[in-house]
Amino acid sequence: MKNCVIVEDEFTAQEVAKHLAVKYGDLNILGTFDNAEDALKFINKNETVDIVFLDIHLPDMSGFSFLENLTSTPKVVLVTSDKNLALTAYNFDLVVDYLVKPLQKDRFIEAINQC
Amino acid sequence: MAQEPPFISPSEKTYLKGLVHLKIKIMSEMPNFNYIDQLADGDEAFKSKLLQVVKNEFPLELEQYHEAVSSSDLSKIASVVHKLKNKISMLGLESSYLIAQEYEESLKQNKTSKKESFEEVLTLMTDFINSF
Repeated sequence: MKNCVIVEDEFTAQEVAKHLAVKYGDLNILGTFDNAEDALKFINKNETVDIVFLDIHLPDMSGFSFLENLTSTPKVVLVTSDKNLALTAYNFDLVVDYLVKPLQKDRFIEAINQC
Repeated sequence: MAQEPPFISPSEKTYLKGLVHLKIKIMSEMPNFNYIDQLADGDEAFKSKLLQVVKNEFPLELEQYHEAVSSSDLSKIASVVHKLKNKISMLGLESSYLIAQEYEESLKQNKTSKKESFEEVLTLMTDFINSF
């Protein structure tokens, strides 16, 4: 079973991601964070994190700055309501997929399968 | 003496027609649980939990929106509108999502076009969310 972390400041979207991760991804959720700073501290200290679901628009830091500050190397699935940032997203080696909110079950499973 | 009707140029007529069509589309669009039901796939406990989260979070976002509008901080308004887009979409409001998207884009360019239409969407959502 893979370990994941959800970084999302909108609680409704957090709940959807948690549901999909457990029900269809067979993932163990190590933590859910609504801000980048706490999430970064946790992920950089825990090498057991395999997958990070990361919202690009966080209140304290953009998802891209977040990626630049990661010292560990989990697989990252970007999650956003913005369809226009996909090209920038793939400039980062850690990014394996880019999901547009609201999350759809089939696309979510497809993303997990790439991790 | 009868008043002359105001002159409207052909381009203004096209613009106004577009606005009227958009308004009709928004007004005929109703929030629904299609996405949430599909996601829950019969899991009533999850559905009920998710709806409760929406019910708790939406009024806070609405408050953040009005605060941002009062402070005329366009980038802050854009940020709240961006966040609200997920709920608009989750409630099946496809045309309203486009309004939110256009409003967010206009705010990023220091404009406020679609503000009125967006706020009508918020009213529609408020009524719906208060009903469950």
